Amino acid sequence: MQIELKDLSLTYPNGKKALKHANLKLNAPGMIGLLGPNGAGKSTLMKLLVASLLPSEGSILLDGKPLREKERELKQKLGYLPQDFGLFDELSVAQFLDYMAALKQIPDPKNAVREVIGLVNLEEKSKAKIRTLSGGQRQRVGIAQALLGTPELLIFDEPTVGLDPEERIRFRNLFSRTAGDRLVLLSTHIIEDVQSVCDHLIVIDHGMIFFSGTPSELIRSAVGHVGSFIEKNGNSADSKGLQVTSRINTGDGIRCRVVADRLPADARPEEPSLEDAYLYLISQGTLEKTTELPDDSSLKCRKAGPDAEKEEER
Amino acid sequence: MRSLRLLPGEFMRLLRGRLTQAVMVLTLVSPILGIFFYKPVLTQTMQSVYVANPAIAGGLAGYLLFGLLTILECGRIAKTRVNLLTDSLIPPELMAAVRFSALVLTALLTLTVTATAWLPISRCFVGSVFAFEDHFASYLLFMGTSLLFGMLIAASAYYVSGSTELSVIVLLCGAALNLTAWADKWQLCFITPMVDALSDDFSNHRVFLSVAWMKLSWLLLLGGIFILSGLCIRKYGKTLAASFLLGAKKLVKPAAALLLLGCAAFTYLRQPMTDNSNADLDVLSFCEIPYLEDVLCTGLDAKIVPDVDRGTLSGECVYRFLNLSGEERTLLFGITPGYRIRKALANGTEVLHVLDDYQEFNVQKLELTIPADEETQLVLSYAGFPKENRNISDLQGEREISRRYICLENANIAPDLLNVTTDPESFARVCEVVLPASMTPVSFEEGREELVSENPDGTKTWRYEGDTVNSILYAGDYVKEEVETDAGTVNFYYGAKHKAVMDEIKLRDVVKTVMDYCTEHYGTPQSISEGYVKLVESRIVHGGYATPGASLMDEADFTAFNLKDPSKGAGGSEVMIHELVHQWWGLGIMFSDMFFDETQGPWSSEGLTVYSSYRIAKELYGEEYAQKNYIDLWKDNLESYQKNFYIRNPEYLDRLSEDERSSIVCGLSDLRRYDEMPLKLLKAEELVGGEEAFDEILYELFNRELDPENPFLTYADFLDACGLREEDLDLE
Ligand SMILES: [Zn+2]
Repeated sequence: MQIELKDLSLTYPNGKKALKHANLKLNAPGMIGLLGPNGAGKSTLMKLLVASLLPSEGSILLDGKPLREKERELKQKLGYLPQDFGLFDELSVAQFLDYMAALKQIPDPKNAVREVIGLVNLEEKSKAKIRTLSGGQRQRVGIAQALLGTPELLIFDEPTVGLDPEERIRFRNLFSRTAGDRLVLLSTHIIEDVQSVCDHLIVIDHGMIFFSGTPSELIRSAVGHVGSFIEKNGNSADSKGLQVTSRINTGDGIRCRVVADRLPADARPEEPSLEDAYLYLISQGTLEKTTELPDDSSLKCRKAGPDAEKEEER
Repeated sequence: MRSLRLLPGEFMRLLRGRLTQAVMVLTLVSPILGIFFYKPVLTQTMQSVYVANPAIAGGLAGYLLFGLLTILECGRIAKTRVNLLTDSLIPPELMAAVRFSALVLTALLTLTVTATAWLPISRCFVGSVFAFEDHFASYLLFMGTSLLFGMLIAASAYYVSGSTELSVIVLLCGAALNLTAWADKWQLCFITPMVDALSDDFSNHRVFLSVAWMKLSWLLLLGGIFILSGLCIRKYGKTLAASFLLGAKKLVKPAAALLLLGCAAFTYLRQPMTDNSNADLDVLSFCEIPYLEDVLCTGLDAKIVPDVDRGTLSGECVYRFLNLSGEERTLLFGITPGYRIRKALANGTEVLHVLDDYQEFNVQKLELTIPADEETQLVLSYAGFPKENRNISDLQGEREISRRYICLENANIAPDLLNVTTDPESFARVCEVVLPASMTPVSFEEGREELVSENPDGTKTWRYEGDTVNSILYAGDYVKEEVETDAGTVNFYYGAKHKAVMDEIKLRDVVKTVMDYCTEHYGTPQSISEGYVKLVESRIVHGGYATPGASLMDEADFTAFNLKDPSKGAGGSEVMIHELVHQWWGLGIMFSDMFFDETQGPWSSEGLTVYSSYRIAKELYGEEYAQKNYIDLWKDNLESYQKNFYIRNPEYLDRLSEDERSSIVCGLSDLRRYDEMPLKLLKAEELVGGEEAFDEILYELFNRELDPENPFLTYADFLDACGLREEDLDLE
């Protein structure tokens, strides 16, 4: 399976430009991480990929054919976990999955449901009504329905939201295990989620794709732009307009790790991590944006918290 | 096809919802509202009370409940964002179709359970006259369709607006319109159809036909709107308009919607049930047409063949005219709207005929010219479905051609003469009617029905004769009881379904008792003038009428409900006595209460009828019995009513709701007619010198010369005859 985005743009009916001229090629098999801050356009891109939205400009090609022509085929191959999805509270976990299996026209629904319940570790809750589940358990039901019927294309939008750290690790491993020969697209704003499992990363912000490549390529792009220095009075990173990635108390004082296009003279160069590289990329993007469009309201929204993306897109 | 595969899962999911279960249970019990609270069918046949009203009330409740369920289901799916999961797998419009189908299936299941659960209840209350087919037809037509309409309106409103609040308002507006502005328009009250009565003893085919036609129009209309609104379901994150345009790209759906809307308009505008009679009831233009002085009708042979499966009739009439003018003459006939003239031959030659569009009192004018020949034989052949008068569209069902019952009147049988009189010396009408073998014909006149032939196709041809152009024919599964009385032979025809009830009240004895008593005391009514009378039970016609040789009572007089009415007598036999006495007081002698209004005084046909029934009971069961069950009862009723707070303080009546007020006013009016007047008559009896003297006065009144302009017996006439003043009869 191959998905190709050609000059893809989407403007919402309220005028908000959520995606601008995106070009991409995604090939199966692969485990692709879609990184970006809240409100960057990740969910919009995913909804376009599952044909829940139609692009304003450009096109998506599925195996070389326009998606609109292959919509039905796509939906038959798709496992999708949207953000902020809902469940039928009056059904039990197994009943709900049965229901979804029927929608997916899975030939042997009983076994398929049992299998995914095992995968997400909900055996004990399979007969429990969904209304009695915790947030994390509901999220697991969501993941389970996406996995139903071993779809060729799996798209997870912020799948680890609401899971505790232990579960997050479990699911990361589950995603990489299920990837196999399929195409898995996983969006997140948490670097750790993609760090170890994805072989391909896409970084998106302000509706634009800033990077598409392997994790090591992303890290390499930040070499020479990561450094650290001891913060002293009148020498704070903030006053220098630097992007701080961490602050560590040391015997000499607080050691600030920063990313910047040009490091201050007193900074000690450091080996970039994936997170450094990502933050560097984002800070560069923001800089460009700020100079290009100083009044863009999306900048304010970015700092408004984790719900910002949802609100913008509605 | 895909939606069919998805349906079972969606249906099971829906059934598991608590809201669905609540709606189903509430709908199941809702027919009870029709027994206690919401009773749109006022006629008190057993099936009206225990089948029609529960089914109609259940329909109203189900309309609201299933409409709300539809809206809340749509709203909940959007609110909880489950649609994010489903829409990624199934296109939203297909998913909506599957969800709606699941709702329809749920409604169907609920309807089946409701109709089945209420079957033993209705059957128990209705008793021996219960009809399975009427029960199920009522639940399907009166109730089931309303559930569907609630869902269609709710879903359409939601698909367009996307708002639960707005959709609920639209749903409620539908119900409000139905119950107010549209309540008296049979084609518009789409939730609670206008039903005058469900017959116990005869057929309800024609009533169901009207309701079915109305429901069909609405189904087409709402179906068209539903398909159009389905195009508005938001897809691909687009706005209403953009979604609609995307949806309408494939022309099949808009085309199907337009087709349905077109059919809805057609079935509404071209409905075959009622005619276009002039709504101004003061216009009697057909009665004002002058008669031709030189043309007479000397005879009529009619042969009619009702098609009991299609509800239509075809007929051929041969009229014989005597034309003394020596010139061509234009004749006018009254045709039943709905009939078409197939052929008009005068002396064997086709003549031009013009059917005027104008209609008045269920008659349409046919104009044709006969030749100058002195004798003309005119053959008219016609066929069609007899439409009913639109001005009494609430009474649909009185005219009927069905396998179980036929009621045809005047122009329904043979075209009426509008500008020619019949030859009083020689005119004779011979009617032949072809009926299914199971049907017994009763012509509403002196002449007896003779069997002419049993036909190879299982039908029978009957003949009956008369001396007027017009006639009335009933046919059905009739039982005929022949009772010899002092006045003559009474042939009592009643619906076979009523046999058990009639046996229970010892019909033959009652008939003989009343006939003998009343003939002896008051004289022979006009209907028995030849020593022979047909007493015919008909389907509901709201009253009765009499003609020489025949007298009609409708089935409402014989329902178990009526036979238990204590104001008419203790027990079924005595109520039957009461109804038969009306052959003298009410039909033999008319009272202006035929046009009864609630505000008028106590003088009516009921006073003398109740009084005479008391006298008969006294003769049959003794003085003590009559005192206890009649006189004491009248006094008790009057007394308890006078104790009523609102009767003592009428100034407070204004504070009550209109329904409560009218029930009190009605109760008062009944009381005055059924209890106060009999007591006054008893007092009159005393004042004129006892029973014998009083009976003589009544005899005189019954046999007095009538003024045809004003044939009614008034209170003043009565007081005059007794030599009393109004205040003489005041009760203390
Ligand atoms: Zn009466």
